[in-house]
Amino acid sequence: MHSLIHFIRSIKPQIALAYAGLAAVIFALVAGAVLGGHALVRANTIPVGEVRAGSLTVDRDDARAVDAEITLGFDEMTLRGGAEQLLELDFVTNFAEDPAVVYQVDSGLGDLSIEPFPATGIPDASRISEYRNQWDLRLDSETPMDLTIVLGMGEGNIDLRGMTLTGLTVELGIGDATVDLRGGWQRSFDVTIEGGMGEATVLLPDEVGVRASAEPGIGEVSTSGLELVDGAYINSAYGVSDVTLNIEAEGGIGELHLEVRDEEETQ
Amino acid sequence: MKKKRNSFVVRTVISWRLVRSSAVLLRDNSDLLIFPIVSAFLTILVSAAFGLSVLAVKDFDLRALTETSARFRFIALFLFYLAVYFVIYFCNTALVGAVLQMMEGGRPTIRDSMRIAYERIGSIFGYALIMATVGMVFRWLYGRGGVPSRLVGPLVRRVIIFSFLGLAWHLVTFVVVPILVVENVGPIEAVRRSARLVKATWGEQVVGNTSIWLIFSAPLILIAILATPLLSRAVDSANDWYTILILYGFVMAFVTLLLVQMALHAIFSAAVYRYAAGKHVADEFDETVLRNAFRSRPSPISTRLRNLAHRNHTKTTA
Repeated sequence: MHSLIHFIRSIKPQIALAYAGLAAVIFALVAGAVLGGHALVRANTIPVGEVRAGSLTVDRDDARAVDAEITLGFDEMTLRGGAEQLLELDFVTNFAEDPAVVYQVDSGLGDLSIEPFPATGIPDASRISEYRNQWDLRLDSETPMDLTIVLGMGEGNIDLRGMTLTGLTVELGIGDATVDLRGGWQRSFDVTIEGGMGEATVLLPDEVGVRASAEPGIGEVSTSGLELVDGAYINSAYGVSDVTLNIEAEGGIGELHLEVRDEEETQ
Repeated sequence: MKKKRNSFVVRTVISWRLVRSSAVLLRDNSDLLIFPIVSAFLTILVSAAFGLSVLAVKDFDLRALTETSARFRFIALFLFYLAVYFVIYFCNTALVGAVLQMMEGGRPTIRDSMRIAYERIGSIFGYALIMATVGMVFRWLYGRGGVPSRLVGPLVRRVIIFSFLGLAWHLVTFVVVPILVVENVGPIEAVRRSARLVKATWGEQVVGNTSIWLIFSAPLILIAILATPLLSRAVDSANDWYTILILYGFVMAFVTLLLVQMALHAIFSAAVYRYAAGKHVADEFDETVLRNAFRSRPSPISTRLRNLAHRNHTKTTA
């Protein structure tokens, strides 16, 4: 303490002046960031409006394959295959605008993204629980698709059976989710599951090979119907089937269950 | 004959003495803080100029900024690293130059110290180039998409492995700046020399760096613990000025600690270099010689204040 007092007393005026100058610049930066940030938030806050229903469709156009990124953000979503068009969405929302869909095709590759509101919008943190954003989403099962699903604060019931996937990434958020990967897949692909704070269940096939590396993170990863061999979980079809799902699962804070189940069993 | 090596206990004692002597030197020569202060000023200036330049390239369209190509982001980040490292190492060289002169019994001024750095500007730029390149390599190694991180695996393992790599690089280059000052060699030779000296003093470096880290970690952790609930309450209050005051208080506490730590770190690196080069051992770090060794020119304001006080005193006496 004595040394600290000695140190402070020994600081010469020009050093104190330089420090004061730095402090003033930092004050301007902090004040600018807070006031500017707040003004930006106020200008772009998404209001909570009347609850309404709507629907959207996207035609595949001449795309031979599609990269799709679906961001739910809030509330809940059911997703499955079997759509006649590339995307069919029925929604119930209280955002002023419909979900923001962007789709473009370049050299036969389609790039699809869907978000709950325009990217410039900022949700009102104090009314977050009042937002309604329920999606019943169907995707075309025939189009080869590299699919990314970001749940954010929402819950998801994702049934990918029968689809033609070339890759899958699921980023879980705060809510719970079920991802159904059962079925007789025709080609191998990589799956990345990033755990969140909720509970996630990934249902895996017993007819095609599964090789999963699971890292628990802070939370818990449990498996059922998988055997641990050389640091990876495999099912009984692994090495026998020509098709393999390579799964990389990172647990978050919550629980992640990897379960092999017969397709007839219900979720 | 086999050279006798110091035991761990001896290394620890030597290291603590070096840290203590460095702290005493800083305590008695608080003017040395000018270098980290200038460094912080210039870093803010460079960051602001850099941010504005990038925005200008994208016609001030924030949305376009989020959709930039990987090549653009790579080049922009590399140039940013280069500019910031250059500023930091320029001021660090001036500080270490002043400290080393003081350890030799000299009485350097700020101008003398800045001249030392200016005379080595080419080597400092070269060293900043090396550090920026290494920074980008580490970023690539650490990034999710990079091949090495896929080989290393999940996040926790990545953090541990690359933290050790970062620490090793920090130790290898720990005395580069004193070498640039004293030996006036090129940046690559300075890194080579530093790596050779590290072999002889790695124990002292590890203990010394850990000690400095521990000394400053405690208040930093305290700041973080206090900041979280207070800031959350301030944000909830929806009062902008209350939020600004709380945030500013914590930022300044953090910056002040960082400035002192940067100065102490630079002084310690100079002390370790002299010790490793065999010029002085810790016991010979003569505190009385170093006390108030840094001569600062009085600022015009302080000279005017002193003259005014002297005039008033003369009038009263008369």
